[in-house]
Amino acid sequence: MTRRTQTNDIIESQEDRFLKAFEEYSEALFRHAAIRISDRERSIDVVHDTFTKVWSYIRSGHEIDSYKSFLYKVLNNLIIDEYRKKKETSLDALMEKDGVDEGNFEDLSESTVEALAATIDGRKAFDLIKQLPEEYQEVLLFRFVDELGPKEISILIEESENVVSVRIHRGLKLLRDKIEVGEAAASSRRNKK
Amino acid sequence: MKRFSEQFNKQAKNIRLNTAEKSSLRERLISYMEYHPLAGDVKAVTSVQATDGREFFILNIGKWRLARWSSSLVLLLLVSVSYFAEQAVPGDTLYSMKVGFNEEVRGSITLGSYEKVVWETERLNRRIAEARLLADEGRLTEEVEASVAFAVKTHTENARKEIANLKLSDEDEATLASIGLNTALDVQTSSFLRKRNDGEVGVNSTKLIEAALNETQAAELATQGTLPAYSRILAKVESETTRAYELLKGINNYATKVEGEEIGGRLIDIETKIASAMNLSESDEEQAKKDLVVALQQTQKLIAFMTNIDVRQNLTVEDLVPDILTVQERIALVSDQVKKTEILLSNISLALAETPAQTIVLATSTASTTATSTATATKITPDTKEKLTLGFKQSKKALEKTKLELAEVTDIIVLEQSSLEAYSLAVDISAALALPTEITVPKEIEVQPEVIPEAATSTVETEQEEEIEV
Repeated sequence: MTRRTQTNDIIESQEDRFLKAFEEYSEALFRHAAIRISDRERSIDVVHDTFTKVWSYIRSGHEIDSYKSFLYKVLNNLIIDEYRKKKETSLDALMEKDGVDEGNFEDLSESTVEALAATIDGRKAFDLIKQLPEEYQEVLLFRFVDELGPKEISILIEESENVVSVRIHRGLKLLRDKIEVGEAAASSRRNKK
Repeated sequence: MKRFSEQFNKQAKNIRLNTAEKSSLRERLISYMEYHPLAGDVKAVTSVQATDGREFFILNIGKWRLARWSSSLVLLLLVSVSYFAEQAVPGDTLYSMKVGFNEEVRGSITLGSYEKVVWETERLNRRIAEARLLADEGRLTEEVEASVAFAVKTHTENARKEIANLKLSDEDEATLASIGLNTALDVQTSSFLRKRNDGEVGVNSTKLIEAALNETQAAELATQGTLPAYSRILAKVESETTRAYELLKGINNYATKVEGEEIGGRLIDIETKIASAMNLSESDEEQAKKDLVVALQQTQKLIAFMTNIDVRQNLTVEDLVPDILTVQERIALVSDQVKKTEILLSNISLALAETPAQTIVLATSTASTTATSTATATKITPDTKEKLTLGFKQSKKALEKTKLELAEVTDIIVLEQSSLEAYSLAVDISAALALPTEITVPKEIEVQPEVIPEAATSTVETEQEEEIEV
């Protein structure tokens, strides 16, 4: 096989792999972005930008071992950029963030998270997730929508695995609190009637 | 956990791209990929985290750009140098590039043997033009002249080799190429000859080149074989005349109006010659072929005149292609000459009649035949007067004969001879009598017959003759 043919084969395989990754992950990436950004059109643009950035990276001569994690990493960075542009941080979110000391959950295990999650209504939790601070949304969505493990999430957000678990746990707890608050409010409304 | 995950995920799965959105996104992405294709030599295989590919990217593109720019620069340089080399003459720095590179490259891309002969002929013309330029500027050294003479021989030899090659495959084409080469040599030789005759050789002699040209021309003439087939010559003549007409269209850009008119006239003559050769081909094909070859050579000479500035500077159209008059034109010239002779004889008659034998003014023997020449009063002797009278009668007789011939031309050559005889005698006698010999036939004479009425003139002449005879 000549050098030219080999080069063409490399180009073809690069393009094929890239387009295959698009087919495989574009839907999930859009979903993740749409939940966090809450703007359908903007979310589509962010997914587009994610893929073009990855393509540029390939053009610069790099080869990507795992498209899934790399795409999520780029998407996450772009979403963070979106947040920075908006600079909208609710007072509640700030307060909730301040009240958490992630260092206190050193021995938080997956079973602890599972135990906590089992007490929460998933549908209600999904509806309330937008009320959580960005850090919690991020890990909860990676964990329960994108179904990434704590280790994968830790690489994506460049935090330790323990911090990821703590955030998930704390996020779930916040969700449960919000659900409980919501249920209590509904109950009191019913009682008033 | 599982229940939470399922419920949570189920809610999330409700958020999805519709078909149109996904299709649009895909198209946008593919379009982006098309506008930003992968480099042809993607070869670096690095892991995502392993290296910083940015450096590699810049370096890689840098190499490509450098290579592109370098090759463009080299090409530009080559074209520029090659262009300027075309203006070089022997002794210039770029001359070797002109001869050794430009011309060799052009020669190598010339495919056919015939075209190669044409190119070698063109190279020969170039060498001679360079030599002329240097000679005009007084820069033609013996060494350069020798090299040009050598080049003349070399290019002729090359052309001859190509003709020999061509002869193996197409003998007719080879002969036509040989005719072309011979015509080019003829033009150059005539040009040198004319320049020498005009005394414009300048500081530097070009004898070596002339000798080389004469030698090659003689050799070329000796190798002339049988004529090509009639149809082949005719085709060549037609293509060459077409080219000549095309060149004539732009003639005003580089030649004078008179030259343009002359060339146009010669081309018409050539057309006439071709037409008569075509008529002749049925009865005498060999003669028709000869006539066509002459027409071809004349056309090629006209082309040389129109395309070669040196030829234009040194030769006239008449030098290259002498104007060949038609019978009608020749008759018109005879007619004109007859009118001049009549005027001359009339003047002579008056002079001889009015002047006594002892007081006729004769021109000095050393004086020229013009009326403005210095003349001394010399008394004419009766013997001289008798001789002049005899000459006058002879001239008059020849004139009468010419007039009779003119009425019905049977042989143009006989007519021209008798006319010339009458005219020459009249001129000589006029010169001897110090009468004007340069006669112009003004049109007024023709349209104002009352000034010199024919009847009156003839009466006078008759009386004068009678007086002389007495």
